[in-house]
Amino acid sequence: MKSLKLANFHVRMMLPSMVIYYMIFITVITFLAASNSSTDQNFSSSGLEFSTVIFLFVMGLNAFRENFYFSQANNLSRKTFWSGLLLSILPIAFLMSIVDLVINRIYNAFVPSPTNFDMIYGTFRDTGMFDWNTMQYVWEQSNSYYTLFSTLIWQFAAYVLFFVLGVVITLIYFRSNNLVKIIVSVTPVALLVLLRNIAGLLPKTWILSFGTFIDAIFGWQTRNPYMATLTFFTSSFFLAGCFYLLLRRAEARE
Amino acid sequence: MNIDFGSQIPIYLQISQSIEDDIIRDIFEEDTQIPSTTEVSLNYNINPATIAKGFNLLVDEGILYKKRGVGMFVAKDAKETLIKKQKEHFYEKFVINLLHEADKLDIKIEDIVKMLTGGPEYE
Amino acid sequence: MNNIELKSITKNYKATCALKDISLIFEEKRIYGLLGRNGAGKTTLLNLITNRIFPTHGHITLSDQPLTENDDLLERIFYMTERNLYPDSMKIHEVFRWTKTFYSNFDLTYANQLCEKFDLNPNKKFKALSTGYNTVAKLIVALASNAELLIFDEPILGLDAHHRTLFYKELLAQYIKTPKTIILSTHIIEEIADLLEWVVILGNQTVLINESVSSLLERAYAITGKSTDVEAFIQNRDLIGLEYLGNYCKAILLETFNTETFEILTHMGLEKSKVGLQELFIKLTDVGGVLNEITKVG
Repeated sequence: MKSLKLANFHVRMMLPSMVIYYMIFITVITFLAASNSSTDQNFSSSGLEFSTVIFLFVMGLNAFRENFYFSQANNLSRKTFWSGLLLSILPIAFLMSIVDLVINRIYNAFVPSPTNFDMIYGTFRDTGMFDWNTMQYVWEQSNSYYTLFSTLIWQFAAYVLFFVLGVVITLIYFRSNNLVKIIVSVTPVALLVLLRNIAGLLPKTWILSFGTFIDAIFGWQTRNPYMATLTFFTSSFFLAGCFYLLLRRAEARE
Repeated sequence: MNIDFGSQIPIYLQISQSIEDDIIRDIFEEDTQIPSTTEVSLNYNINPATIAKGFNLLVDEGILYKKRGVGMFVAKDAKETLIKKQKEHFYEKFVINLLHEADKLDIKIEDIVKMLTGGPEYE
Repeated sequence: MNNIELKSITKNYKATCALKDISLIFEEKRIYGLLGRNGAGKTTLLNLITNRIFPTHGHITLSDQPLTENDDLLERIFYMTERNLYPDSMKIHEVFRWTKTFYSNFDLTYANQLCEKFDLNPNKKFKALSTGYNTVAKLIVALASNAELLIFDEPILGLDAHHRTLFYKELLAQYIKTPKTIILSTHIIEEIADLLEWVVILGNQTVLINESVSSLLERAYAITGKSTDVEAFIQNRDLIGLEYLGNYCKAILLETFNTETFEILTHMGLEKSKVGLQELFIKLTDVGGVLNEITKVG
C-alpha cells in the first residue's frame, strides 16, 4: 500500500507542472484559433498532442532523482519506489489523454487539426485535408465511439511509454560513471549512423522483413491501433523491467 | 543537586554523592520523595541509566528506598547513617590528601596542627 | 527484540575501502554514540543500516531478519540524514503530512509543538531555511516520527546552544517516555557524552571501541609525573596517548587497574586522574600521533 501512497505523492508533485503545461498549451492554440478566424488564410495544424509526449518524456527525465530521495527519506524499499513511480504515471497519462482529446475536439471547431491517431489510423490518411479539385478542406474528423475510445487508449499507451523511457534514461545516467555516461550519450547517434551505412550492405530481404515487422507491430496496413497500443504497453513493460534491474542496486549517495 | 560536568568523578558517583550531601543538609528530609530519574535526567541531559545507577547505589546502602509506582524516598535515619559513614571516610578523603600535600611541600605535622588549632589567625 | 546486527560487513567504494569486516550489534533501547573522525565511515555505516547503500560483503539484520528491501522493518527506523532528501520546494508542514502517511505513528501535534519550541515556521519551504533551521526541521520530523529506532547523522549541525539543549531534552524525554534505540553520530562529543549509554568508535575502517560509556571511562586513566617515571610505569601497558611538556609527561592508558597497580603509582610518586570521553576519543583516533608532532615543533 505504500507504493500507492508514494504514487499519490508523485501525482501531486506533477500536477502543478501539468497545469502550467496546459495553460501554455491552451494559450498558444487559442491564439492560433483567434488568428485563423480573423484572417482569410485557412491554416491548419496537426498532431498537437505530440507536445504532450515531449512533456511527459521530460517529466520522466525529471521524475527519478527527487522521488527516489524522497522515498529514501521515508525509508521506503526500492521495490515500493519502483511500483509507486510506475503507478503514478497511469492516472496522469490517462487524464492527459482525455484532456488532449477534449482540447482537440474543441480546437477542431476553429482550426482543422487532426490528431496523430487520425493521421495514422483515421480517414485523414486517405483524403488528407485539402482537396485540390474543389479547393476545399474536405477532411472531417470522425467522432465515432470507436475513434474516441481508440484515440484515448492509443494516446494513453504512448504517453506511458515515453514517461517510462525518460525515467529509464535518467536512471542509466544515475548508475553510470562518467565514461559510461559518454558512451550512453553517443550510442544513439552512432547507432543511427551505423544503421544508415549498414542498411545498404544488408540483404534486401532483411530490410524488407524489418519493414514488414515495423508495419505489423504498429498495425499500419491493418489499421489496427490496438496493435500499436499493445506494442507501446509491451515496450513499457520491458522498460519497467530495465528500470527495476537498474534500481535494484542503486545507491542513494551524494 | 549539583553536578560538575568538568569534574573527573564519574557522573553516577556525583549523583549519589550530591544526594548524600543534600540529605545531610536537610534539603531532602527523611521519608520524603526525592526527584525522579526522569526529572534529574531531563534537568541535566544525562542518560537515565546513569541516574538510576547513582540512585541504586544509595538504595543498596539503605539510604533510599523504592516505593513501587511512586518513586524514591529517603530512608529513616538516613542522615545519621550518612554522617557516620562520612565521618569514617573523612580520614581517607581529607586527611590522607592533606598529609600527601604537606609531604610534597615539606610541611611538618606540627605546623599542620598549628594551622588547624590556630584558626584564621595563623599566618 | 529490535537489535540491529551487522555481520562481517565490508564496504568498498571503487578502490577505497570504507569499512573492513565489521561485526557489531546495536542493542535495542539504548542510546548509542557513533564516533569517528571525518572519513572514518560513520555515514557509510548508517547508510548501510538503512539500506541506502549496499555492503560489498556481509549482511545486516533487524530482529534477526535481513533488512534489505524490507518495508516493514525499514519503517521501524527513522534516519535523519545530514543532507536534505526532501524536495526543496516542499513546505515543512507538507513534510509532516507526508511523513505521517509513511510513518503511521508520526505525531503531528507533537511536531507542531516542537515547531513552536524551536521557533520554526512550518509554512516555510525547505530551501528558504538556514543551515541551522534545516537541521531543526529534520530533527522535528525525526523526533515526532515515533519510530522504534532513531538514527541521527550530525543532528546538531548549525544549531545554536539553546537549540542544542532543547534537542537533547526532547530526545531524552522521548526516550524516557518510550525507550527506543537511538544512534547519534556527531563530532560534538563533550555535549552528548552524558546522554550516551554506549559508544561505538570507528577508525581505520574498523570498530575501535564498542563498550558502555561508564565501563570505558572507568578503565581510562591519565598518569602524570616526571617523564622518566611515567615512561618506566607505562612499560607493557595499554598506552593510547603520550604527551610531553618539557620534563613533564602525561600518559593516557586504557586498562583496568588493580590495587597493586595503584600502589606502584603511589610508590613512584605519579598522579592519576580520569579522562573524559572527548579526550579519550582524540587520543584513540590520533593516527600517527600527529597532534604530538605539533607540540614538539612549538
